[in-house]
Amino acid sequence: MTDRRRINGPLEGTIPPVFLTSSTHKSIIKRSPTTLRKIFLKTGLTPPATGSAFLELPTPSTHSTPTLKLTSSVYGPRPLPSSTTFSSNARLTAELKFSPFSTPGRRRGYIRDGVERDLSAQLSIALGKSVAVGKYPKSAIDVFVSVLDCEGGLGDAGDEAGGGVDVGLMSVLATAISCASAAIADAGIECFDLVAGGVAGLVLEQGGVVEEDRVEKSLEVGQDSDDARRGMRKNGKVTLVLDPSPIDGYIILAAAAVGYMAARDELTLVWTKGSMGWDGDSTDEVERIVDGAITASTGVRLVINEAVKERLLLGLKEMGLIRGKAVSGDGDAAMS
Amino acid sequence: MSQNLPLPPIALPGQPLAQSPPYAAGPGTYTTQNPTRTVITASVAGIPRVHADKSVSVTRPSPSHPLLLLPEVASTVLARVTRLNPRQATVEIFAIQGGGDGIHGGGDGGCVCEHTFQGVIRAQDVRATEKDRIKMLESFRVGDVVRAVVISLGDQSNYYLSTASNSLGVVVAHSDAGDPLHPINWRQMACARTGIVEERKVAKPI
Repeated sequence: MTDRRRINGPLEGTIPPVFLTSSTHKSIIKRSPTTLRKIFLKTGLTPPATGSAFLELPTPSTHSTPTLKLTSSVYGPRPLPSSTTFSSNARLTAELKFSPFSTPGRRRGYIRDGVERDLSAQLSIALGKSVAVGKYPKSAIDVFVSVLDCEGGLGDAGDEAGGGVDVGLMSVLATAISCASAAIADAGIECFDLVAGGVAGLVLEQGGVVEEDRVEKSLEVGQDSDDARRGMRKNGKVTLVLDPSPIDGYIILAAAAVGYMAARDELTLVWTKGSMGWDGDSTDEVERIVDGAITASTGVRLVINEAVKERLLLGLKEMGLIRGKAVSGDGDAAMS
Repeated sequence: MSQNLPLPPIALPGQPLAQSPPYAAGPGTYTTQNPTRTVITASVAGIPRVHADKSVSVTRPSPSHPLLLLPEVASTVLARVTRLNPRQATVEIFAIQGGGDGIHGGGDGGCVCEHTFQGVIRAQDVRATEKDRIKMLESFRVGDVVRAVVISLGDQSNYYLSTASNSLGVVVAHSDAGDPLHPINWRQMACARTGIVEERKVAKPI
């Protein structure tokens, strides 16, 4: 006799599912240090939003390639809630959220944690300088970035790989800036320039697996991390890598993420991480990685430009279809 | 249209378009000051155009989101009356007819707003004459559609509107029975079916 007041389990025993272990932490591609990953960027994919964009990095070659996927949607300018005070500028808010399934292996909670709050604040700083907030009095512009997949982990929970600096969060922030900026351009919100995010890092050039092992050992043995890092520098050559990925397998000594407005040649955000200049030339090294990050973001800017242009041409074609021949002729003239 | 000014077919935010002394910055552009010159730069992605008055503008061709308009001072708006009291009428602005500079390439006309904006018409802004004898209940009713002009961005929640002009006032109204009213004179509207006359601050039909 079954208990009908409760939800009963199955009569037979069940076997818990066994998942294959993911192999996302493999070093897969060896790009040249100055080559950026290929970016897929498309705007206007979220119909209810005023503007939206989707960014994937790198364009996946196989279905199992770990990628960084982000969507961004922009709402506004819309009226501020009546509880707020009068402001002659638009109020720009940016919110970055990781999906629960974005980190493989460990699900993220729904509640905003410190990492998300920190990245949201940096994102709104990076975008705030570019948007012409003075043109939209008494209104709010809301930017939402949702991270769908982040390349096998963020490195914020203690799974540091290789003893170096983890650039997972930096590349999330940099791509979030680029994606959100494309969405703002798609929304047609007036802005001074588009912001593109870029990351660069100083890495220890590895002679091979043997040397990598040795470095790791020296890190483990040497309690004084400065000594260990000096040891690392003596073992290998330090080179600049543009757009380093956490799955590339580099040991990153220092990294910088920037938000850069290429047309105005202005930085909106600089975030550096790691330690630099043990020989006393830290300013040179900081300049070197920030310049590297600027180079990376200039490359990303070209992709944003193309994505925004592509959408505009699509809009022109739609207009031609809607309004008949006269406008389509006009549109063609404008396109050529 | 474009007179000997080499404009790109598509402009993106931050892209320099023209120099300021001969040309002027129109909608969708802004000016940047260099030490040597002033440059007109695109601020939205769109198609740049030079107008007859040498102003450069950038218009967005996208039909889905053509314009992002906010009520500005001196722009004519259409609004629906939502609340009424003896001192003021609360309205929600749902369409902007331009009258400003037609920003974002509005130019030709207006647009229906994606979001409504709250506004008020104070009793002293209903008409230009005999301001002390205005009765709000004889000027508007809840549900009327009013053509008004923005006189101030107002406080945190309300735009301040005025109907103090012949062309401004109620444009669409319904009688108590729910039948449409048509204007008789500047202060009266009549029901088409029953002939009942109601009082409104009527906009002059175009």
